[in-house]
Amino acid sequence: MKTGISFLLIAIISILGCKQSYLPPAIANPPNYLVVEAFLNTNAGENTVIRLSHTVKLDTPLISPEQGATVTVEGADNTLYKFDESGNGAYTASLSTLNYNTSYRLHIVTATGKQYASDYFPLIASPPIDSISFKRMDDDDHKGVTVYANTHDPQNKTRFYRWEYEETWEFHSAYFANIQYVPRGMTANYSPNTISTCWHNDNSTSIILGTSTQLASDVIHEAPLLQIPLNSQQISVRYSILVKQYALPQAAFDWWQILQKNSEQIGSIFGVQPSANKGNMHCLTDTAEQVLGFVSGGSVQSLRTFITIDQVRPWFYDPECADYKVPPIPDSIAFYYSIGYLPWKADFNPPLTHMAPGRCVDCTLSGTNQRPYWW
Amino acid sequence: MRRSLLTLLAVFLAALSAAYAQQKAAENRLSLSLSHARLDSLVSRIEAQIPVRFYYDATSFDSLDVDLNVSNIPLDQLLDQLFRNTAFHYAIDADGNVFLTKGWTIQTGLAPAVSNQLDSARRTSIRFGEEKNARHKESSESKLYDIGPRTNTFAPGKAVISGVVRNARTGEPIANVVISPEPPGMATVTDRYGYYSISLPRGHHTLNVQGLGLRDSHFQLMLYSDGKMDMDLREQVTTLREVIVSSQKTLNVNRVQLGVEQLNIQQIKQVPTVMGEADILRVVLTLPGVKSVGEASTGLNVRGSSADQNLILFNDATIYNPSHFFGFFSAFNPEVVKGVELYKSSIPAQYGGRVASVLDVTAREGNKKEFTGSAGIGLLTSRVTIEGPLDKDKTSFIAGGRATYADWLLNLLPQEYKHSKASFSDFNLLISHNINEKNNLYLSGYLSNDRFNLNSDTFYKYGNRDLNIKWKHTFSNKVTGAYTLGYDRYQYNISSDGNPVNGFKLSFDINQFNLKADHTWYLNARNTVDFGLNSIRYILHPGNYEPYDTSSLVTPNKMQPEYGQENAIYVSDRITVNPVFSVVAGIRYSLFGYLGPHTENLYPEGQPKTVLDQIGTAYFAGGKLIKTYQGPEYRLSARYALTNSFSIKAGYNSLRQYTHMLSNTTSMAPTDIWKLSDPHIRPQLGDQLSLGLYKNMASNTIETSVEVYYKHLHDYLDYRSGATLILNPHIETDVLNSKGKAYGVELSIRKTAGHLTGWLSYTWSRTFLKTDDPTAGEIVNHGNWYPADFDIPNDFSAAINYRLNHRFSISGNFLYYTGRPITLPIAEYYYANSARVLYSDRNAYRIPDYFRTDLSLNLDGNYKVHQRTHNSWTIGVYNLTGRKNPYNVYFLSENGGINGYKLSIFGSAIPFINFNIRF
Repeated sequence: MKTGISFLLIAIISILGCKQSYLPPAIANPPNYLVVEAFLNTNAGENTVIRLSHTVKLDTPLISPEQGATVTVEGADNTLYKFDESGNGAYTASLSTLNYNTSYRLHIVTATGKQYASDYFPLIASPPIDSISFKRMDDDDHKGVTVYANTHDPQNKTRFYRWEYEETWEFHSAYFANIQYVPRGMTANYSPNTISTCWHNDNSTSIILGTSTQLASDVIHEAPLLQIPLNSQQISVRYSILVKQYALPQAAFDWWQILQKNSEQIGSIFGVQPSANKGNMHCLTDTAEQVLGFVSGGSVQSLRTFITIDQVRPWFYDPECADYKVPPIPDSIAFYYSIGYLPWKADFNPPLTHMAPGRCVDCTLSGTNQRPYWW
Repeated sequence: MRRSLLTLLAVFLAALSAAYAQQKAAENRLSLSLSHARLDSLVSRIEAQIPVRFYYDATSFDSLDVDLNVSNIPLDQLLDQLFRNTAFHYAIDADGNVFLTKGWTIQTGLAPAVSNQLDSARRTSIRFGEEKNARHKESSESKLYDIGPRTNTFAPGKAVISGVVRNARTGEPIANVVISPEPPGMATVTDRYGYYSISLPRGHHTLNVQGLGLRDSHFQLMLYSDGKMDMDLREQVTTLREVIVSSQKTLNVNRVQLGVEQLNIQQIKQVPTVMGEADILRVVLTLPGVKSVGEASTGLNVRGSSADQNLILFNDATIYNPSHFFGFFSAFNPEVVKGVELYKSSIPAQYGGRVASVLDVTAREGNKKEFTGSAGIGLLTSRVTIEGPLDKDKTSFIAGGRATYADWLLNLLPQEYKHSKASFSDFNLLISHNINEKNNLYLSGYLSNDRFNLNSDTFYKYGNRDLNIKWKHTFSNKVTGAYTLGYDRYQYNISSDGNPVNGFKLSFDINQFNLKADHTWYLNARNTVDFGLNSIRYILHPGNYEPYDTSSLVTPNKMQPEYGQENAIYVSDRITVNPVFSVVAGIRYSLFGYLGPHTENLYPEGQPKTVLDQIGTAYFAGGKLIKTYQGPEYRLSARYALTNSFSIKAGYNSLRQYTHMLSNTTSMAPTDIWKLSDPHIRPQLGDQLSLGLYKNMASNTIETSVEVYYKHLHDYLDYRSGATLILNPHIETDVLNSKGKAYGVELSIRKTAGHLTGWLSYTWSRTFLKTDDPTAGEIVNHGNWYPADFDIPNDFSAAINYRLNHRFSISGNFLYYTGRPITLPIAEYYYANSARVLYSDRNAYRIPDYFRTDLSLNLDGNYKVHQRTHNSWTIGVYNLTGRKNPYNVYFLSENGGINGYKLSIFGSAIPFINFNIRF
């Protein structure tokens, strides 16, 4: 319902308001806090990867990884699991043997000797995802395809859920190339053509949460995960989404919810203020130091679903590609090539070379031509 | 009458040269004794003794009681004695003619020796030079009123005059009219029913009567004993003539209270507002010490208060949500409003229940003489008002309604907003009935409705409902009473049917039943005592959450209702120690009880209340007292007049608040809920110390003031991070008790008359909060003082009206204030596949400063009295400079990156046009 309000407010703003971009005043000495992103994955055969980084100055795209730390998971039953550093702030361990009857904490010793630990927390197993459904909607409010998660816990215990997803879609370049430019001139066909069918991968970047606390039973019915805009490239051929479902303890859910509000649902006409968000990690060496992140653990449920264009038609993807007919003079072709155009077809009568922006010819510029093994 | 007297006057001008003869006629000596005789018999006795002839209008003298016992005195001495302390005058000419007049004297000659003999204090004469002015005054002003049975001698001591001041055109009583005798000093002010009572020495008096928007009037009266005098006054605006400002508009200097702001509807309507809708709250926002967190909010922050700390009354009804359309418009229909009073500092003891201020909006009473009405068409709303007598001069009504057609605005939006709807309406009704001279009845009703949905399947509705009946009784001319019985309600509903499994309906309401008894006892010339009691019964339904229909899996969640009883008694004395020093000393004792039936959560003492630490519950049966809070509230203020137009005032006020609005947004949202004080949530306490200097200049047409205040707040409510306010059965675990302090200086200049009118105000003020209770479990900003959301240090505003001629005027608004505090990002980090921001300490930064200019042209139709309708146009531009004033600054994580936005509500110049018709 709060979401409803902020949604509403954003709508009002677009009526009467005027939104401009804003740069905050520069902060001379931004705080350098440790950021811990960790979910202890107990799935058999899957590794747990956690990421350690630092807060950085605004508008620096750099992630500042914490390297050389010693990371362990400590059980209340005195068990110990060690992580291996896999570079760039990532640390990996296999935690499939964690025991659901005890509680665990994450312990970190940085290269500079600072110690950090989380509170002890129990593991929570996620119930399986019942289905990933989708609906094509043509009403003005939600034009396109909305994808939903559905799940339930017959024991009515889980209640708090978080989802992440990985999208993959097949797409075709607008022009099927049968000629190729090599710096000294035009050459033969692609054989076989490997730049016309590609797959694009994306990960969810927003926080998706769901709870059934206000329902009589622990049922999540059509929790919206994302909206695929109408006629977008995503479903121009075939689309796939792999949804991962995490069950959370309430404290973790609250923390994620504040993070979501602070970073994704702020800015209404009623002026919702960001609120402080204390996670479950603490600095043992300096208790006043803030640590960002909330560590929890349990099993992860995943489910993949495909959507093909036939299921959502009419769907007209317009790649917005223009075809230029260039006289087959090496200089002309070289010029167009230098500004990002690629040849894709040669006419002989009259002699003309068809060229188009690179992305319209070579799909590998925005995806990979390696077919995923599960496709 | 006057014409014949003038003729008489002309006749005698011809005989001026014979003036000396008057002396002769008067020299004849007389002896006579009369007891309770009429003038006729006196005249016949005199005419029998000496050669004189009397001329008089017998009806003017029919009440004169002649009580004389004289021997061997001249006629003029006899007449002097007879007419002493009366309005009667005499003149004797050379031919032995004696002219008796009432209220004025016939001059039979210009001899300076004669006019010097006349006691000018006792005789009011019409001189030729004054003739022109005098005719412009109220006909009633040149009359001399007798209060009490007439005698030719005055009993010693004082007598009380009381009565009602009314608008001569509509018969409507007028509040806040200053009635001051000459010489000024012991002035009195009419109460909200137009009633006044003043105690004066018996004898002849001139009363100056002044009120906002009224022509100054003077009443001559002869006070014999206690009596009644009603006054009918003319409005200033209806006159086409140059307004002569001759005497004091001294209310701001003379009033004992500090921090009182008063506006009438004419002043409000002159101020340009967005979309051209006269908006009471937006005009109040231009007053010194009143702020709001931004343009989309009509929540008032008065001297560092939060929006819920202001008691907003509309004809005695408590208005919980004074705004329409997400806060863009105020809920008061300008066509039925008479005026607004805002008490920022000295809050009269009869008011209580909020710690910051009282905004008292009064509605007009209907025209008691004829049916009239008005209609207005604006860009967003249309309104109709009808008023008139139900029983001439006895009963009148006024009914007003407004409705929006804001949907058209939404239709201008891109396609995807096509399903959006937003509308509001409000309706007012006031019936006033004059049972007899001593009893009046008033019935007042108010209804407002707002509904909207934008872009979603969720519908929002909210509204106020208020009804009260008041009986005003005059026990004697010294004691009046008003008894009010009322019911106020604020409610909202939210419903969503988009997802069948999660479809829900959520409703909230707060109800209060009020009983008020207010009395004023005009004890004597020095003391006016107000006393009475208030009683409020609260019934609150904090939330009822239920499935939208049968396909919904939503578990019904009905929060326990809350019951409370707030009782208060008060007594306050307005003491006029002497004309220069006066004091208002009041005390209010309030008692609040939180009542069953209710199941209370129990927590261990002295540690943070958390759901996990809850040690059980306790059930309290219906009507049982669960928790009581009580305490005295002091209301003191004093005024010392250094000169007639310069005074210094000081005041101390303390207040208690037992109802709280739970909101974690900066401005008031239509989904905020109210909560009663309970065993866990203590009442808010506030106290304020203030000092002010008031100086009037240029014949009191310019009023200036400086006020300084310091304020403390205890148990102000703040919330834990991520607090759930709606449907939270253990809200006490999410609430933090804060302290607040506020201080500031307010400067104000107001020009009340002339072509140029309006006000300038500048405020420097600070407001800080502190949340440092270690047992609360969470401290904000390391337990240090931090600026509140509405801490706006510099605030300048001006509302100016320039009248070019009687039909055409220009109004301008100029506002500048410091940007409000916000919490800004100081660093970023990467989490959950996206860059996210880390925020500074709360309110460590500010949004850019605010500046706005509005301009409007007001064009009135012609002033011919006899036409069916009177029209007026208002054309203007809101935010003339088109400045994109930031309302909010925020940062969003979008597609993995961070984007900062600055949001302006009215980011361009907005032209508007409004048409009003009066019939």
